[in-house]
Amino acid sequence: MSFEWPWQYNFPPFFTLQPNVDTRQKQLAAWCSLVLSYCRHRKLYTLDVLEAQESPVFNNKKIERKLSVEAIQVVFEELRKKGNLEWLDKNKSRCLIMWRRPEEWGKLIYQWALQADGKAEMITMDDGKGVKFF
Amino acid sequence: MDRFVWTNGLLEMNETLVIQQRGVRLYDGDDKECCICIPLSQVIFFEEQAAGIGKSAKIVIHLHPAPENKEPGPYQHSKYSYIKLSFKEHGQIEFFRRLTEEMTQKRWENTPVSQPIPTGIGPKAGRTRAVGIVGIERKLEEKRKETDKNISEAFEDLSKLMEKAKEMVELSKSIANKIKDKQGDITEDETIRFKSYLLSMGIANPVTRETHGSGTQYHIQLAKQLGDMLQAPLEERGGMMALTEVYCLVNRARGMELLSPEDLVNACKMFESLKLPLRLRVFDSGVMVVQLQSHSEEEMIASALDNVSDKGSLTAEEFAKLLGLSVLLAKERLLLAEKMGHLCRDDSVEGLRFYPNRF
Repeated sequence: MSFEWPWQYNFPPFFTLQPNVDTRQKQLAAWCSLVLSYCRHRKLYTLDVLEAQESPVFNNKKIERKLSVEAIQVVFEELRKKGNLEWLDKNKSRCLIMWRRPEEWGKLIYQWALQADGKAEMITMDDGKGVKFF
Repeated sequence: MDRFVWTNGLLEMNETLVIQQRGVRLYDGDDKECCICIPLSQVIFFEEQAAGIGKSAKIVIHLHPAPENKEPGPYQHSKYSYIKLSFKEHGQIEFFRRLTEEMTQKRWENTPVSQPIPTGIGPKAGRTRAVGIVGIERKLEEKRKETDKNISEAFEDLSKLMEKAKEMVELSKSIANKIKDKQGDITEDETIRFKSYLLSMGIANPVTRETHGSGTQYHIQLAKQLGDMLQAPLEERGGMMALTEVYCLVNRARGMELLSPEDLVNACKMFESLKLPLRLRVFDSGVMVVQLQSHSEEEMIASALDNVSDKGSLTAEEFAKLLGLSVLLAKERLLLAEKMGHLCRDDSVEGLRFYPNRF
């Protein structure tokens, strides 16, 4: 199944960071959902910033537009604020993409466990990402 | 030291030159401060003798006969009544100038006559050459004092001018107050005339207390003239013109008596208060335009949006061509539309394009 690009992907202004604050917010929201859905589709869990520039997500060869490195950083920061991204290193060159946030995973697994076994206990570990099974 | 005798500089028969050294200082015993001096009051007259081939420049100083109560010096009696200072290493011009100054000032006549003490502060006639670093320091000090004096002299004129100006302002203020008080006594005409004089001199009118800045008569008239003149061009150009365009247009039309940019800006600022149908407007980017009052920004933006939507996308140049505006103004309009959220931008190597905001 090929990935369905949203309408913004073929809209040239999408690849320019908008100065108008309201417009920018909408733009960034669209970017965030695009990145997440693309990663989910391709089962990508980590992204490298330098490689990302050449990835089809940020580089639309058909309309000859690509997102600048600064803009990619802004999008990543937005994702991080939302909880969908974590930097794996201090230099911010590699990151972990969580197209399902940990809490969402936790809930899913919990429900599956309940279904499957009938018995499961949710235990939170230090980083809040754990579920213990019996 | 009373054992010095005059001699010529040549070697006698039984003398040989052992060593010659410059820059040697003479001490009287352990007393450093000894030098010979001639009081300037003794000087009748002095002149320059130009340098020749093999001869250095000289200053010849003619002196009064020695007074009775003269302190002991190197030679009690001399057949000449003048001395010559030979400047082997130049410096005679400055020396001559200073000597001239001192002789005209005759400062010694102001100070009480003190016994000439041979302690280092010899008058300038005694010092033919700067003596090492001390001499240089003294020269620097004198130069500094000289500069100080010159500067304070120069500013003396200015301070006099300031005083006069203050008097003028006081005078006009007092007259204006008198007018205010005696409102009934002075006729209307005279009051108006006087007020117009005050205005034309640039002094704010205290009687009416107008708050729209210090509008002078000239700017007011100019604003009215501009109001008449700019109506037609503005309508041709869609109701808006950059201030630079206005400047060029106006000055070209005037031929002579050209306007300065400052006058133009000040006149334009008065459009609103004079209830003229023009306005001076400043954009965020600092661009200043003159526009017709009837010109509505919302209409302009709505029409801009239509234009852009029709064509899909537009650059500032294309938009300018479409409307017959200058590129600068076209860009300003597009930027304004973007600010209001109607348009969004596409910045790429191809240039800056504007699209309708579909976000």
